[in-house]
Amino acid sequence: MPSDNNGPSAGPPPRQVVCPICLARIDWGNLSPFRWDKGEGKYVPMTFPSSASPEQREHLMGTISWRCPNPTGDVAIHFLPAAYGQYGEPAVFGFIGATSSGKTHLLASMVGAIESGELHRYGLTAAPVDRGRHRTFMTDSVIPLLNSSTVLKATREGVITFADAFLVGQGAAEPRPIAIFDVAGEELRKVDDAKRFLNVATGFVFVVDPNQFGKSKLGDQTFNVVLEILQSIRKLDSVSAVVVLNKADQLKFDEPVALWLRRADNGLDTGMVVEESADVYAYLHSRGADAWARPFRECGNATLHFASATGVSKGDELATTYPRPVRPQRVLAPLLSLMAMAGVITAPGTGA
Amino acid sequence: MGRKLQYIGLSDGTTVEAEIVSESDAVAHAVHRELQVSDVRIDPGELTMIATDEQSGYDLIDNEILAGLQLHRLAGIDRYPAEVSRLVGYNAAVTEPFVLLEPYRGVPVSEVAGKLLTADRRRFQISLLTGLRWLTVAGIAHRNINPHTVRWDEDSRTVQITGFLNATVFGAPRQIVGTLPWAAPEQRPDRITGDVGERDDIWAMGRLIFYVLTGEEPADRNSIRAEPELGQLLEGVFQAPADRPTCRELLVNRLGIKDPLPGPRQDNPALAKGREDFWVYYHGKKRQHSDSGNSGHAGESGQPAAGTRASRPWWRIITFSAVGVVGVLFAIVIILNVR
Repeated sequence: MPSDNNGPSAGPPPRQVVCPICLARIDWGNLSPFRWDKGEGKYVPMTFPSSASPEQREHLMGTISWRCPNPTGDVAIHFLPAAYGQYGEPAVFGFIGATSSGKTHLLASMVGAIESGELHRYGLTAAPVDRGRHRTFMTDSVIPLLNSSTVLKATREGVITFADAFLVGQGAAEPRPIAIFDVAGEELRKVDDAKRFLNVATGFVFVVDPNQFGKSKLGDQTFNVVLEILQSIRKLDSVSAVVVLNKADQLKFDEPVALWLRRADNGLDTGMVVEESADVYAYLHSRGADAWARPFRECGNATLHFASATGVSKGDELATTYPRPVRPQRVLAPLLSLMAMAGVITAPGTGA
Repeated sequence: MGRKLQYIGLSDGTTVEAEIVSESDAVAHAVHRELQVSDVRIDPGELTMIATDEQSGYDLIDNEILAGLQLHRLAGIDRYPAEVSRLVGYNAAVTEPFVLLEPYRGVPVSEVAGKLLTADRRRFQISLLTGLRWLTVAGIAHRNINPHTVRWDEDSRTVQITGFLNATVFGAPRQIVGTLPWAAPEQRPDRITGDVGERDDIWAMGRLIFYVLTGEEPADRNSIRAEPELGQLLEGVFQAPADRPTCRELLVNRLGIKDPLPGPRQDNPALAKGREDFWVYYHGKKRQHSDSGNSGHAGESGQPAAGTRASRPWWRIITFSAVGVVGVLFAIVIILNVR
């Protein structure tokens, strides 16, 4: 069968995309296609049938990955989903926080909200960029958390890649890919590779663990490391950040947390986002935790949010399941806010 | 030796260990060494009836705890009003959450409706509105004022408002809650709009005053106006929330009583300072963005208009497993061992 290893010839002209893993600038579309072979547990080369119909090509695009040329060779061989660079400039978001902050749970709850179609309420669509990777994340994290109330393991050390990625659409505008990184808390302080993505990241979710308040006046060291690197590469002013006071269920009787947990997600209501930001900032101040609000003060665009990835605390440190059914609260608002600030979507009436 | 349990005591905020020494199948009684008696006032049967798609059993217990804490923060131990039930302790972080309340006083007003002595009729009105005034200043809406949640104590000749399972804080979105026909129109299906405010309880309170004083439920507005004692007091009480009188107006202007709680509750100074700092940074960022021509901030619209909010939460999917959870709150007699 005739084949064309250079992938589909139709579609938009190749564009240059920065690989979020090795930071190489890639001519997108001029790369070798691979697919994930579940049986072999690795990426294998694939051929792109030249006789494929446009519909077949579109389907294949959702399953293939490009092998990054990795020109400097100082990073292991890696692959990027085909759709990652096919549309608008990808937005790269990183979840930052100490190991105990619950960022893996927060990310899983956010993806669960996306999977259940919550974005439709705000006129947005979302499709996984890499269906295989998405299914893996669903199977390993989202489903165990939301369906079985399973406590997830902390982000694995040494793993530096997307947790998941989506193509987000809004009305007639060109869809934009977002790639989400979940980097081990300790990783940022130790591994240079982990810092690489800071160079291409456009937005950050700084996840605050209220159980750390009072233990240090310096705040979360992973926040500080990221901010210092961003400062050193002169990116602080251009990045967007959301500071998420996670585990808010543990604060549900405190003012003003009680009120916000009883409200719906703010969605794209910018007035409410700012009002909530003021309350989170005030709450952090009242708990002597101003240091955790540092990303708001230093990043170019920033909002603050209350959220609970699970709606329940696990109680026993060694527990493997939560004592009650998991019920995430206000987890989508930070992602909506970050996407609006990063220009992925537009918040009506604000110009954002 | 009985089963151990732990709760957070409101008297000093510490964790208190208790021991269950006997149990029965009646609703809740707990002996407290210092406060004499505490009641575990969650009745699973009651929860079964009032839990809805909007609020699970867990939410209901959270409501009771939040209301108790807000009142405690406002009144402390020494000033705590007799007109409101009192939270002694709670534990919301366990599989089987519970609350400990001081025992209720008196009897439900359903037992005294139409039977109050002439001398007590005005006392009842003042006492009920005084209790409601404390809730208002604490920022709490009860949302289930009815002849079973409001009690009359013959000894002290005061009202006691109890049963805060449907309570919430002002500013929260309205929900379908309460007990018909006592639930205000804005709490009923297809009528839900806007946020809870200080006038939400006024409707049910007005209906209850009419019921207790006359022994009848008001047939229409004319029947209220026909009651010389009530016509003026309840004027406007059954209007839309924004057009209702406030509790303070009823107490001060219509009953001629000095406000037991002058002025609104003071904001927490640390929160106020934190908000002040936020706006300094926020406006500084706005100025920077305008100078650099960057319009990409999600919060460019400035300080928000109050009362705006998005649609209803998706997570409001309620399982009623929590009712089973609170089923353990039956009938416990415990002697507390303060650590």
